[in-house]
Amino acid sequence: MDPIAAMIGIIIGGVIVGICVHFIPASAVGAMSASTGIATGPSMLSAGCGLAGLYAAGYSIKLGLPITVASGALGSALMIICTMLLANAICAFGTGVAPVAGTYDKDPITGWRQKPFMSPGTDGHSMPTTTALSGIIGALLGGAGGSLVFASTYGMLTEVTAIATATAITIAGMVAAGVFLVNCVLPAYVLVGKTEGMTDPKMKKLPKTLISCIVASVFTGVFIYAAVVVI
Amino acid sequence: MTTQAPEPPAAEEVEAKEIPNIKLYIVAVITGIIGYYILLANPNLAFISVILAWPAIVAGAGGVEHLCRYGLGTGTSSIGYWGTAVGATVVFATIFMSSQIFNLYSPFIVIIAGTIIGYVVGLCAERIIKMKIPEQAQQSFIITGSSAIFILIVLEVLSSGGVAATELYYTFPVIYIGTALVILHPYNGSLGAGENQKRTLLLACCEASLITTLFGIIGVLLPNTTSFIPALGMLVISLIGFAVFVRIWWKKVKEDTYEIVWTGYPAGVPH
Repeated sequence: MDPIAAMIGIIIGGVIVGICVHFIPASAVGAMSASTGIATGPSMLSAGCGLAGLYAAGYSIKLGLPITVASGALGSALMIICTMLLANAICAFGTGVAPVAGTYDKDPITGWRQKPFMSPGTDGHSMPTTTALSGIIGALLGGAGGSLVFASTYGMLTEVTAIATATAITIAGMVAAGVFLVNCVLPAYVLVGKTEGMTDPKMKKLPKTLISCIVASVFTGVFIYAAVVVI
Repeated sequence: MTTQAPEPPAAEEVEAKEIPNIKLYIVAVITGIIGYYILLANPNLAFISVILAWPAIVAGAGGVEHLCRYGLGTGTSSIGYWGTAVGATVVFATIFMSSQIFNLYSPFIVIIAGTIIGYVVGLCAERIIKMKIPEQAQQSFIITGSSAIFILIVLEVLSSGGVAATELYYTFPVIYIGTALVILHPYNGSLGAGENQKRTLLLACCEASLITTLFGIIGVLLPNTTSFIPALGMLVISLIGFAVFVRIWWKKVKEDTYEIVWTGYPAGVPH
C-alpha cells in the first residue's frame, strides 16, 4: 500500500471509530438497570468490540483490504450482538425488567410501546430492537474503522520496512488498538457516560466528535507516517 | 465552658499542599532521559534505569487523579487507557526510526510526540467539546508523555540495548495493558471522600514497582539471552522497591484511616 494512502486510511479509520461510539448503546447506570444500554462506559464498550474486530481482521490481513475491513466489522458486530443478547437475557430473566428505551414512545421498527414497561425513576432498561440495531451499526462502523487503521498500518510497514509478517501484524495491531482507544475516548467526553444509540438526542453533538477525532487522527496518522517513512 | 473544634482547612489550603503535576512530569522527563542513556551506555545497569522510570508512573497517576477528580464523563479506566494508547502508539511507531530498536534521539522524539498529541487531544476536549476541567490539556499531555517515557525504558530493558528479537514484539500487548493499569489504578483504588495526593502517588509507586517486577519476570523468561541480566536486575530492584513502597503506603493508609479491623480468619488478629 502506498504510504500516503495508508496515512489517509489511518486518519479515516480513526474518524469512523469516533462516530461508532455514538451508535453503541452504553450506560454506566445500566448496571442497575436504571438506563437503556449495556452496563459499562461507552468508550470501554466500543474499545472492547473494536479489539474483537481487530482479532477478526488479523486472520484475514493477507486477503486484501476489503476483506480485512469486512472481517473486522463482522467480528466486532458479532461481539456486540453476543453482549447485547446476554445483557438482555440477564435483564429479562435475572433482574425482571423488559427491554425498553427512554427516548421514544414507540419502537420505530416494531412499533411496540415503551413507556408502560418502564420502571418509575429510570430511563429504560437493556436494549429494545431499535437500540440493538443501533449497537450493531455502531459495531460494524467501529470494526471497519479499526480494521482500516490496522490494514493501513500493516500496508505501510510492509511497503517501507523489511520486517517479518508476524512482527508487522503485531505492531500494526497494537498501533490500531492505540488509535482506536485515542478516538473512542473523545466521543465519551461528549456523551458524558451514557447514550442510547442513534435515537439519543446526543447524536446532535456528533459534529463536535467529528472535528475532535479528525484533529486527533491527523496528528496520530502524520506521526506514524513520519516515524515509519520519513525519518 | 465550651471548647470550639478547630475549623477544617479550606479546600484551597489542601490543594496548595499538593505537588503540581507539571513538576512531577518535569522530574519524570529528566529521570527518564537519564535512565534511558544509562541503559544505552550499559544495558546491565537496567536496575538504575528502572528506578528512574518509576517517576513517570507517578506523574501519570497524578494526571489521572487531577482529571478524574472533576468527573470526567468517561471512566477513570478510559482516561488511563487513552493516555497509554497515545504513549504506546508513539513508542511502537518510533521503533522504525532506526535499524536498532531505539537510538540516541528516541527519548526526545517519544517525549515530544507524546506531549504534542496528548496536548492536542486535551485541547480538543477543552475547546471543541468544551469540557469544564481546568488544565485539561496540560494534564492530558502529562499522562501521555509519562506513559511514553515508561514504555520506552521498559522496552529498552527488554531489548537489552536494541536487539530486536521477534519474541519482544509479542510482549507489546502486556506492556501496553500493564502500563495502562498502573497509571489508572492508583486513583481508582484510592478514590473516595478522604482521597489525597500523597496516598494516591504512594500507591502509584507501589504499582510501578509491581509492574516492573512483572516485566522483569517476562524479560528473564524471554529466549533472547542478552536480556537476561538487565531483566534480572529489574526484577530484583523492583521487588525491593515494592517491599519498601508497600510499607510506606500502608503506614500512610493507617494514618488516614479511622480504624483498621481484621475481619478475616482467625478472628482477633491484631493489625
